[in-house]
Amino acid sequence: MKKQENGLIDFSSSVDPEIESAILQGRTRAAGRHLSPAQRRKAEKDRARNRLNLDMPEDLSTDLEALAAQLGVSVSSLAVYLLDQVIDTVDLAALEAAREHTRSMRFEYIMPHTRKLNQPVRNGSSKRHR
Amino acid sequence: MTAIFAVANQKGGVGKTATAINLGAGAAMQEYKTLIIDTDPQGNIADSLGLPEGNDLIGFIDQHPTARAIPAREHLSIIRSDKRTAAYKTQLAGRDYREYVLLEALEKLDSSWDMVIIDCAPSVDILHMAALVAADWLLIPTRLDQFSVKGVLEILQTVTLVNKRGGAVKVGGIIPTFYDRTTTETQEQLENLAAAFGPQVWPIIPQDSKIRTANRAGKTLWEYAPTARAIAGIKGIGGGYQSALSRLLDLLK
Repeated sequence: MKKQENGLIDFSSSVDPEIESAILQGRTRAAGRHLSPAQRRKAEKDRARNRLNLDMPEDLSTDLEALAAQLGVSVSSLAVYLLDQVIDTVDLAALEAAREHTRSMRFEYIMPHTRKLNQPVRNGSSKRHR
Repeated sequence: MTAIFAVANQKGGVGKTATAINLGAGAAMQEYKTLIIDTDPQGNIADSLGLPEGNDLIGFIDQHPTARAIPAREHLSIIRSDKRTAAYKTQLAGRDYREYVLLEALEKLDSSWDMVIIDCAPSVDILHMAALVAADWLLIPTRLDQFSVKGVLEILQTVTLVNKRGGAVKVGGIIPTFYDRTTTETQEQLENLAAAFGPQVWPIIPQDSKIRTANRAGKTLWEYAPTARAIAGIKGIGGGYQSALSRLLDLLK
């Protein structure tokens, strides 16, 4: 992991993945040394959480937040509840039929939806499907 | 073709002998026919493997007809050294082409050996130079402290010198030993090593008192405590001689 002159890590040359793990875990431990016991417990709890970042249309997240607020629950718990209602009963064949081809380098298909997804702007220009 | 590895660092106490033994024994367990050559007058290789002291090194270098490697384990043999090596180095100093003595002796080895691991003494002496001239690959164990990391830079300078004079040794890996994740110094020196040498830095070998007790028992760590941290690494990080061995075997491909 070479560093550039500005101190940022230069990923043009990689390090052994096990060395990277050791460094990252060491940094986490070093950061933890400055925490109070309560903060450390919270940090451990946070690390144990299973989190997933999703790209989501802005109006869908607004709707979710509004519904969660109305119900007095967290957005996470509402989203989990809604997904849990359908995930086991989903019609796989219907989903496969609904897929659309994409030019993405990573995925062959996307799932279409009617809401507008805010695209990340890369290098100030091109937009792409994710 | 026999691959020749030199395990060297001009700083002492960095885990050279433990590295030579545990990588050599690990390779032998995977049925690679392995020879460990001890060039250190302290002669710790034989002791660590529970074998009697002796000196096969002088006969090996002088290509004496009776000189032979001592079987230590299945697929693993050693060439022992003892304090007579210190006086022998003085004799070698007056010999022409002295830097080539190990290379010449190794060229006489039969081709059935898969690898030779030369354990060097922690000094820049004639056998140290001869090991670098003979080796295909250099393995540099280092503790994660300032002086030991400085030792890495010094041996790399020596390598440059050797290669300018006709050697062809390549740095196979820098092996961070005695890894103690509780100290800030360990973390900082590991980051410095990774920043300077990138993928040449092999997975860490955790500090593990079982290495010392295995030495005392005359066993390799693989025999004495195969699940020890120094073999199996640390959960979430990895490392250990198991990982180092896989990097070593990658060099054979």
